[in-house]
Amino acid sequence: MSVDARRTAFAYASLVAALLVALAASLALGAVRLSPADALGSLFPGADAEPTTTAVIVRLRFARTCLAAAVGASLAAAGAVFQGLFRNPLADPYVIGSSGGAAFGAVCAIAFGSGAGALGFSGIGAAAFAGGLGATLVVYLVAGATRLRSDASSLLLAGTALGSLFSALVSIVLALKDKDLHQAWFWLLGGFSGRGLPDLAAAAPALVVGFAAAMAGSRSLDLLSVGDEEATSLGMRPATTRFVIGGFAALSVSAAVALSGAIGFVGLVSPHLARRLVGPRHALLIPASALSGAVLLVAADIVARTAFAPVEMPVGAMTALIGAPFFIYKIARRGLDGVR
Amino acid sequence: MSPALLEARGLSAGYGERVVVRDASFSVCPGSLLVVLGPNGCGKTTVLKTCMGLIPSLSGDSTLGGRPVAAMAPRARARLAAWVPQLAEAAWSFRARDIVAQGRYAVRGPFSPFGEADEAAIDGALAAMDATAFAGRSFSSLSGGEARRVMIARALAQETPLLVLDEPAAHLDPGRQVELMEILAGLARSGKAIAVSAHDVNAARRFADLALLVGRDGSSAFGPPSEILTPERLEDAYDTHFIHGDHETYGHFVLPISRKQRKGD
Repeated sequence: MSVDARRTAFAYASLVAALLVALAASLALGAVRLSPADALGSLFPGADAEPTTTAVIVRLRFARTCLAAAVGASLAAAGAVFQGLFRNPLADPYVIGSSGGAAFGAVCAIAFGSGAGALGFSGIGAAAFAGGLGATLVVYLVAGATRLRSDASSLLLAGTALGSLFSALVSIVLALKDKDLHQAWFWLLGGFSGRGLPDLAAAAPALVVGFAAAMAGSRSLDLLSVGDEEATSLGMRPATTRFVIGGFAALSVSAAVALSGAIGFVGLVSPHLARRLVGPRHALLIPASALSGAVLLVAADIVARTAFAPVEMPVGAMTALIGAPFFIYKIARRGLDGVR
Repeated sequence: MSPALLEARGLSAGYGERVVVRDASFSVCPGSLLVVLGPNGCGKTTVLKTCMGLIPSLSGDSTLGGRPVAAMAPRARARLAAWVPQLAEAAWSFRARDIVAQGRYAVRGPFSPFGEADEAAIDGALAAMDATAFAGRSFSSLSGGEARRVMIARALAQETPLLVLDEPAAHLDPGRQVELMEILAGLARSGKAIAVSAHDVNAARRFADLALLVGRDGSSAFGPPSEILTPERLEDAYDTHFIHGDHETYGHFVLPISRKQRKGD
């Protein structure tokens, strides 16, 4: 046991260290390159200091870094939850329709939008949030109506079908309103430009509630790993549990998508990387996933900002660009499952 | 006599239109061991799952601790009866000890942290099944026999008065099979009620207090093993000729000799 505990502590320490390095690098790197010391120093100026250009740049980067870390952590934690709920290593945060619905909401707001925000979100953000939650609700209703005790596969099928339906709707709206194509395209790929700390503050309650619910559900998620029938014999209602835990996860995913668009890949791979480090128990896996996701997305954002500066790449493309080779290398070395 | 922990009266079990076992009546009280016997595909698993409330009954009554099983919440059932399934596989590579710890869900619920009592129950269950040595290994890396012992340990960690096991002797070597029956008989003597499906007629005669013999046609006979596991009934149920004999230390035994020509084949 103590070997296990030491290993877990080491894994967490490494993840936290990696996150700190990524955060410092994210403040220092960009179109204007700063030393990490200067960057940190200008973030905490003395009371009488004049606001310098450096300080302004670092403020902007700080907000962006916080956004990337929060979104990465939320998507990765939700990914771990959905993989556990469906006993499926291919599940990602978008399996029950949140991203399709959010994209549809956002594209509608871009194409027909009034621009009026709600709940502190921008108009697009609010529409995306509502679309994501609405899609999850529809998936639940469809799955519930077909089986009434929705097992894992009917939820997955309903989610996949609804996802395709929403992307069809998105294409139709964009074909009708092709002048908005570029803005919508950039939004769909995901990114952080133009969003700041006020947007993060608006999304924070949903992100925090989602993460807390995921942690509270961790023992139930462990139990679901043996299948619905056995989980029932051990004292659980699997269908109800899946609805509740999945609903909270969809809440945080919708908020994350409202913030930054449907950034792919981070929610799929982070749980696998975390599982290799701390094992499959969800009480350890979910926080480790969140840390991995934060590191991955902050790193992806640095590359997105700097690789082709001053042209900014979409972060969603960068997550896969960095993540996929790393993931394949890890899998090729030791297979998909955990270390113990 | 103490009231039955598990009781079926006129129970028919199956899936939708397909009735597998019809009109079965049997019960298990604290302190006794019931062995369910019958040929492959006769419905041993179906009838046990129905008694556990894992599949709905088609007709008749099925109770756990005197309450209709269909009306009980899963957690209330899991505090009364532990289930050991025939096939076990867990997603991800949980350690064997994590699997055993799942038995504490019914006791502790989804949220409250484990205490000393839980750790003690888990350690005790692992020790009782001689599984402590591989408790730290990944469950999916265990051999069939080791995995089976971990599954039984999980049921023991549940600390229920009733244990229901579906062919737990499968994948066990002869020594482990005898050991398992001794453990189950010992648990029954300590006051638990045990229902177990099996294929070993001799072990049933030797260790069981009660036998339920399910036939291919869905009929069933329930009573003391010496009355139920008679030459005619066994021959009929299994379509097989048996030799019946007595050994000076073992006692009564049966051996399958040859397959009977089935009528209509």
